[in-house]
Amino acid sequence: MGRSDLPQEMVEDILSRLPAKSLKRFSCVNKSWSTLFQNPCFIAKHQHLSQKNWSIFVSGADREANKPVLFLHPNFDDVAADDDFDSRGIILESPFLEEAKKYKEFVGSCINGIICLKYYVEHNKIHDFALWNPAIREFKVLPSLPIHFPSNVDYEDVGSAFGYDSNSNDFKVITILSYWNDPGYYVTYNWDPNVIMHTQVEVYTLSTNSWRQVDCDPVSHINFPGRFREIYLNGVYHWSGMAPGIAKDYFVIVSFDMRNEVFGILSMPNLGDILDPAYVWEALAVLGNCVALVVFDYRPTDKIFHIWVMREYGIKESWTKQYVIGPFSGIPHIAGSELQILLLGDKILMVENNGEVILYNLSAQKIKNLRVRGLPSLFRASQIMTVVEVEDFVKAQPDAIAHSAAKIISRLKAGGEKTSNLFVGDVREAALIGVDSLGFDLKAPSEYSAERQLNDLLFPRIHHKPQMMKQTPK
Amino acid sequence: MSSVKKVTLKSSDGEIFEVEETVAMESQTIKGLIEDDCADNAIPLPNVTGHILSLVIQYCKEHTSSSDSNSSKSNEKLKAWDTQFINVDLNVLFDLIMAANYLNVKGLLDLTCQTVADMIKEKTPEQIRAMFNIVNDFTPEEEEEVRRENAWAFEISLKNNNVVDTFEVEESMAKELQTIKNMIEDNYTDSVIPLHNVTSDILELVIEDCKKHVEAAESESEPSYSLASKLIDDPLKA
Repeated sequence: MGRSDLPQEMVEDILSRLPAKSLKRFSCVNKSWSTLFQNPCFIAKHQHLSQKNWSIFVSGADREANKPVLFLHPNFDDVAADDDFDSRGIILESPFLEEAKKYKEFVGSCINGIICLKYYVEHNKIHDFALWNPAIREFKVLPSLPIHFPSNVDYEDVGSAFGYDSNSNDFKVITILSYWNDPGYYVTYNWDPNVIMHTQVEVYTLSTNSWRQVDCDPVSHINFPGRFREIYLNGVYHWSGMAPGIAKDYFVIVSFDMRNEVFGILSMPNLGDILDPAYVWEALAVLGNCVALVVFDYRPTDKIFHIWVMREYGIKESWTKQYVIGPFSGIPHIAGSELQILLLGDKILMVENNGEVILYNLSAQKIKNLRVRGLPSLFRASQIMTVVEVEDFVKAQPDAIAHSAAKIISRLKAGGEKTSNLFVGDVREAALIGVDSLGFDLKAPSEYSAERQLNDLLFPRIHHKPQMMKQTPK
Repeated sequence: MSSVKKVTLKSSDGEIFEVEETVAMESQTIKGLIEDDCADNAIPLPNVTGHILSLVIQYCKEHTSSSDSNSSKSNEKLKAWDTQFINVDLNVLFDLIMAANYLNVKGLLDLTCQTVADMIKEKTPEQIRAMFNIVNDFTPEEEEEVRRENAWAFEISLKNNNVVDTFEVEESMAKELQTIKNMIEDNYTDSVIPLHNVTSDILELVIEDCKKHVEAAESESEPSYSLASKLIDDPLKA
């Protein structure tokens, strides 16, 4: 009954529409299918189609457990009216985050299956970062930020970003630091015109495994990141910021291009007399591959939302007021960051700390109130789009042996001569580079090349030449 | 007297179809030929049989007229029409895919590929190989390794009578139930098994039971079939 005459292109089209679980199951159909599913071009096609099945990825801190929490929600298309959700919350067991470290937050969203974690080690002035690949359950701790300030200068980590450079196939983490030339300043927070605030930006690239400073002169006069949610669109990160004006300060959007590591400034729309800037709450969002702004006046009980879209990137005049929706009653008074707004295609999701979720369908113009149980008391919502889908997060359990790997390896190294005698034959300078439930991995002769191979294994990148993304370091 | 322009299409088995130009232009391939002035005589389509071509023309007709009229033929109605239209057997579906590809009718290609995708997403690898005539070139050890790496993807879903709850269980456990075991081994089922006669509560109990058996078997103690699973096995045999 079987048909073998279907052209390969058609078979791939069909396969690219399958959920990740099916693809994983079909990896054992034959070798060429298994290879196909790891082909970067196929994955890119699949991710594009999978965008219809977004899940919301809500990161937060479980204050009692002091651990990062991942909450995932089903596709909101399937939700019947007035449902109660039991959020599927996963507490990340991360042995590498020992007692002394306090979890802080996830940075940005998930890119190519990788998540960036930012955490705080007690007694350290500045945060640390780690990259996490849930599909293969591996963490990579980033080297500490090299801080060059003299000791009498106060500085603060004010924001971070996580992105991917598609040209060099590299993951990047950005940290924005603010510092003042007056050491006592940050303690008092009294505005002093003689105190100058400076910004310093450090970028980490995975390929070099190091941090370096980047030029932020174009935006050094701007106070950013602001309190609005940042967005990541087409390889460019965007934050809101406050620029000094002649009469008064005004809002702008600061952009950072992950590829050429250049800062830019975008103008916000002219909100005009509709909304009093003093009482306006704004959030950056993405709508239809454009930068968007969700704005409302938070004074009235019944809130009206204005959604602006920058139709042509970078052109202030192209800001168009696309939607005015509401009035919505029953949205309690919102102060700053307690309300989080996401635009998903044609739906607006408003998520509040207490678990209230309001879903507004822009095309159907219908509103739904949902209640999500189990949200942590402090969280940040962001989107997640990935080939490795929801199930992989649900099932992902840290590999206990893999996490002890570093300790096992160092202990073996400490064993010195005794352990090297175990390696017979021509193997000299054999380095023990990996431990997992399948055994020990050795690589000779160079530890550096072994590390690089491990890196490629842990953090798959899209290469221009199609290659197997998983390499076995043997 | 109709002033509407028509084109003539000829299928591989010699059938002739006269179609309005606007309808025929749903196919980008035919559109190109018309625009290049190659469509004065009948356009031969050697890769498409008459039966399939008539279906493609039906699709194009339906989708042209709805883009003309002011969407009074709503999206929902069109979707409903599509659903009914695509309710054909798998061979026809595959032929439609190839015709839609050859004639470059994007909407039809999306519809057919999506339909096949939906059809196969719950299938087992064995069923997929049968469907696409694929030879398994993995050695048993290699295949075992791939399965192990992706163990969670091979879980069997048991759905209760109202398809409200789904229980994911490992294959070994599902096989404890004789009926399911037979279904799996005869390649009779996808990885989602509906159990029409069983409610969630009972199903939960049964699964708990099976778990214990599997654990007991692994620890090499004597398994004893409990009453619950015996009771359930009987209605399942229906």
